[in-house]
Amino acid sequence: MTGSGSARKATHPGTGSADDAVYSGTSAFRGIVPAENLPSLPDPQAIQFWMGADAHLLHYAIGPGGEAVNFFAVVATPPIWLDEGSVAAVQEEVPPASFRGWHPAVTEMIKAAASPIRWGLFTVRPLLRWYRGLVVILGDAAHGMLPHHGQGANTTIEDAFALAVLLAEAKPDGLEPAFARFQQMRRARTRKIQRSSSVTSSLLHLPDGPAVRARDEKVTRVAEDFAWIHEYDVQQALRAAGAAPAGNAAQA
Amino acid sequence: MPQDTVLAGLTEVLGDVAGVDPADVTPEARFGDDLGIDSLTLAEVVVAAEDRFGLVIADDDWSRFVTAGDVIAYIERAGMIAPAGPVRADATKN
Repeated sequence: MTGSGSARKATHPGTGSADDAVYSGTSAFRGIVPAENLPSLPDPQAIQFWMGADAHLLHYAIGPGGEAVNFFAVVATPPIWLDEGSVAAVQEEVPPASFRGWHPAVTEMIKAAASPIRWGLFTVRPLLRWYRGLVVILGDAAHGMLPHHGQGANTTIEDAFALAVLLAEAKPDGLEPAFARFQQMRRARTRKIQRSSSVTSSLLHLPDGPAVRARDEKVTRVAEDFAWIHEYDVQQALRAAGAAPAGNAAQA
Repeated sequence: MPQDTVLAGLTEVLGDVAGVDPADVTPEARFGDDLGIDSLTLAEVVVAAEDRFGLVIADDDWSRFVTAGDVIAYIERAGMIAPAGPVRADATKN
């Protein structure tokens, strides 16, 4: 049995609950807006971050010709998440006050696709073990992370690929050693990304000051600084761990 | 667990994960300046130390580690309670 799921609904062997999901103090609004409705947006085709005190907004083009803009706006509210689930109806003013006075491109975007709901952003507390008996967890259940590196789904796919290869090599009575190898191979990498996503969340919401200048200088090196995330090859990692993805898997 | 035992275990972890010379590992050794360990490598050290000592070190805690002695003190405070299953990070907080 494998367990995955969202950070808020994480399945953990031995607990089976979401007690390990931790609210980050930030929540998100999403929307899709036709590019033609965003006259102030300098480049609708760009992948762009807008950063400010206690809020940021990411947008990128979607659709066959990039004719729509998908945005993800994050605010440092509410301080406490009271809802049972990870999505809550928005009672307060939309757009959030957090973006008042921002560039017109940002306010146009949010006003054009005022979302009636907000998503709470959660992480999962690190776990020492990802398996017990015949149960193993992966993805958000094991390492639910903030979305700021865009790695929640990617790390889950890496997990699934690695686990599939290791299980294919395991003997019928050797599942637990395979789970142990899986955890050994994946825990440090996902922990690093999980931590880096949380650090990035703070960097994206800095108030004006010296720290912003240091952050902005760091932004110019994003490709180099985060190559360890984006250039990772799970097949290479498997080979380094002594496992051998073969057949169709090697083509994945 | 005595400090010298924790130090010995941490020295092994640092050697395995980061290739640190055992002679360089003292409680006063700073991860960045003395041992050449950046924050990403420190995360790997932390995970390996967790496996070695059977505890979870909360992210907010290990991000404040400066010296090997900080890790040793943390592990000593947490005690040596080997987990039977998943352990929450806050289980080791004071």
